[in-house]
Amino acid sequence: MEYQVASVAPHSNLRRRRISQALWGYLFILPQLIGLLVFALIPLVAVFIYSGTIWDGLGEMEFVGLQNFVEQLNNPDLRIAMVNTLYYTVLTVPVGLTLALLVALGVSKVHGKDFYRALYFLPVVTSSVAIAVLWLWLLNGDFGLINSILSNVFYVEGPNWLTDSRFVIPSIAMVSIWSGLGYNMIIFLAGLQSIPAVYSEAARVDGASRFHLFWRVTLPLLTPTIFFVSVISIIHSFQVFDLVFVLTNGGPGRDSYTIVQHIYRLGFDGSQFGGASASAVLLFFILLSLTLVQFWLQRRWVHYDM
Amino acid sequence: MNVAQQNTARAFLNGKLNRRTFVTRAIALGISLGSIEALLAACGGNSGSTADSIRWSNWANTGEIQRFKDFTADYNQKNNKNVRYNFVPSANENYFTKLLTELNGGTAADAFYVGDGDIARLISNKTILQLNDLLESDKSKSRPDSFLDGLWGAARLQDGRIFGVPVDCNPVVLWFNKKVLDEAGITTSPISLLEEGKWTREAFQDMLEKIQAIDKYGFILENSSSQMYAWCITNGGIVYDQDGYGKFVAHEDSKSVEGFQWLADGTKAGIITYTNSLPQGQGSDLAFISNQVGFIAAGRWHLPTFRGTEGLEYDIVPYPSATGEMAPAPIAVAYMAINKKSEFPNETFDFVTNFVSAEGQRFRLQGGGNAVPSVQEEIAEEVVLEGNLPEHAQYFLDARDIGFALFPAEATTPALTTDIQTALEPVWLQGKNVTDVLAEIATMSGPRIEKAQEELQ
Repeated sequence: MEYQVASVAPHSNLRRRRISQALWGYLFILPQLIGLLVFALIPLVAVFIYSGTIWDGLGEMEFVGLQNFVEQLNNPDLRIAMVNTLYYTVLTVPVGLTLALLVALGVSKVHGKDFYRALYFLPVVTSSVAIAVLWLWLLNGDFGLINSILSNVFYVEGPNWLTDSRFVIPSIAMVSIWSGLGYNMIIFLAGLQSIPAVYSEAARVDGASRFHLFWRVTLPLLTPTIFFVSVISIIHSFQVFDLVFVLTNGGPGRDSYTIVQHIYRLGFDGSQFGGASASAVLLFFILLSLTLVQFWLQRRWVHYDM
Repeated sequence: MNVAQQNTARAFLNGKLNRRTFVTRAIALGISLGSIEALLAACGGNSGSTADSIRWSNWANTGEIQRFKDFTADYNQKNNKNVRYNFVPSANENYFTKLLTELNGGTAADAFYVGDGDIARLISNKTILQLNDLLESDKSKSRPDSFLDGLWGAARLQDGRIFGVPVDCNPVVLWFNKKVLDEAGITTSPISLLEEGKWTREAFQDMLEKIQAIDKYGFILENSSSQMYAWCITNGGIVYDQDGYGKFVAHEDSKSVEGFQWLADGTKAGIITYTNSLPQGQGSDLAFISNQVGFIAAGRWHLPTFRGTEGLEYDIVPYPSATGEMAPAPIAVAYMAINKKSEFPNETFDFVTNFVSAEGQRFRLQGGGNAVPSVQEEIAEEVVLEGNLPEHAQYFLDARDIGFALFPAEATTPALTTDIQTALEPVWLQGKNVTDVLAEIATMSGPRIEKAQEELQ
């Protein structure tokens, strides 16, 4: 009997302690959990529900099944928005990633690297609206600094960056690359620092040149970081809104009209919350598909070790 | 409730107990949480209006807020009723989105301003009160016919139902900078030309070319569909058929096409500058203040800024027209509507009718106010003419008398104004063909207008 009592008591205490620990754990994550529920999960579910309804933001909702999706897929404005967003993504992601990688490589070796890191990271901690307003001045066709330099230094007449169809999306992409460079650079720097020095030392002993060292050792070991940054960058570029909203508001005409702007206009200008939600769900599935494809492809090119 | 509980509740309702003490004692006495909540709600615990409090809301800048607070305080003092009226100012930015959210959450004010392009959405949502009976009743200080007919816009449906009252209005006229005109060598003033019946588009264009020659902006075209339509209407054109309730027909109307084409040619030639091509932060008003532009189109809303700018010499003139005389031009209007869920529609209407009455408008607009009365009564109209600011302020009243609010067909169709402005932007910025764009607008707007009109039935 004594043996039995002695064995049950610690077991019971242990269980109580585990429950107590779990409760404390839940209590600590509760604020975050509430935030996640209120600002992410509940709106996500709501968007799926609204996408099947006709609702003007007030009053009764009418359930219409997939009608909103059919309408949106046939909506020429959404098609324009998709093409523009895709063009923007094609411009921003490869160029942005390449530049960030080059800057990270440069900064990782340079003297006073902390200063340069801070310098490149400054736009990331600056409000995107402030950035957009600044670039509105720089890119103005008649009074902008960029065209003044082009005209006075290079004797070239610059275009109207934000009002010319040919230049508007590349201009927005340029601003986006500039403002996002610091964030991607920091991730690449972390990736570079996580590569064990033994690999490069071994390669050097074997007589590898600097180019070969980068191409055969650093780059392959950096592929998990490149993969992560590319997934995040593609998602961000498909969700572009603030820069476009301030720089051009989708104009001239619909030349820089993007998917999220389409969602915003449908919902808040047009009171078509059902259609706006259906477009948001379509964007969700586009991003999900792209991410799944990237995960599937990463098995072919991402190396988690040598 | 037992006696102790009842005494506690009574003490709270009589104001002998504060809220915190009441809640503590109530819990100690075992009053249910539901009862506490109900008592608190009855005594102003919720965010909506209560038995002795009615809220009204509008957009307002810092200067206007004080004026509206003063009006509300004055009304509270003069109307010795058991109801207290509270003013809840809201920012102009995203005002309608916020209003929709509040209406959705049941926290919207009892009465509120609604823009001319938004009111139809509240009518079709059935969230605002139909006002015909109240406006026609003895309680009304201003009957519907007291207001200028052209001001009703989308607030009055084609069948005569009224859902909002014009609080005041802003007829759009051309403000001209005398210094810039002098510098450009323009010796005959636009006012003289108007008085002689020679204020035509050709005369205006001649002035713009002279201003362009001194490297200044001739005229800044705002991104506003109704201001663009002004050049069609003053040219004798038609933009929407059925008195503004029907289809977009500007593409089939030669005079409207001509008006648009003139604007397009002007932007191409550089005598007209489209506002979205100005540097960020420099709106037409700033260009005007800094003596960089000859003409801008705007309502009386610029007066407080212009009169406070030292050295600025300005005056107003109506739009030039095909006949050389004054022609109808757009008017910006805001309406006051009553929340259908207001528990006190009669008391709210009493405030609204005082607010929009000639006396109410005089109170709000005197001393260099930023709008023009929406009623044709001398007591209110005097505020526009006081101090002769600007010199020919009478044109504000003249333009109001013959002008028109945003066409109901456009105002009742969600997002149509934005979409039309977006469609026209390539005309001003890239020289896109006017007739093609107008035809596209007609195709795009037709079914949407039809649908919106059906929803209002």
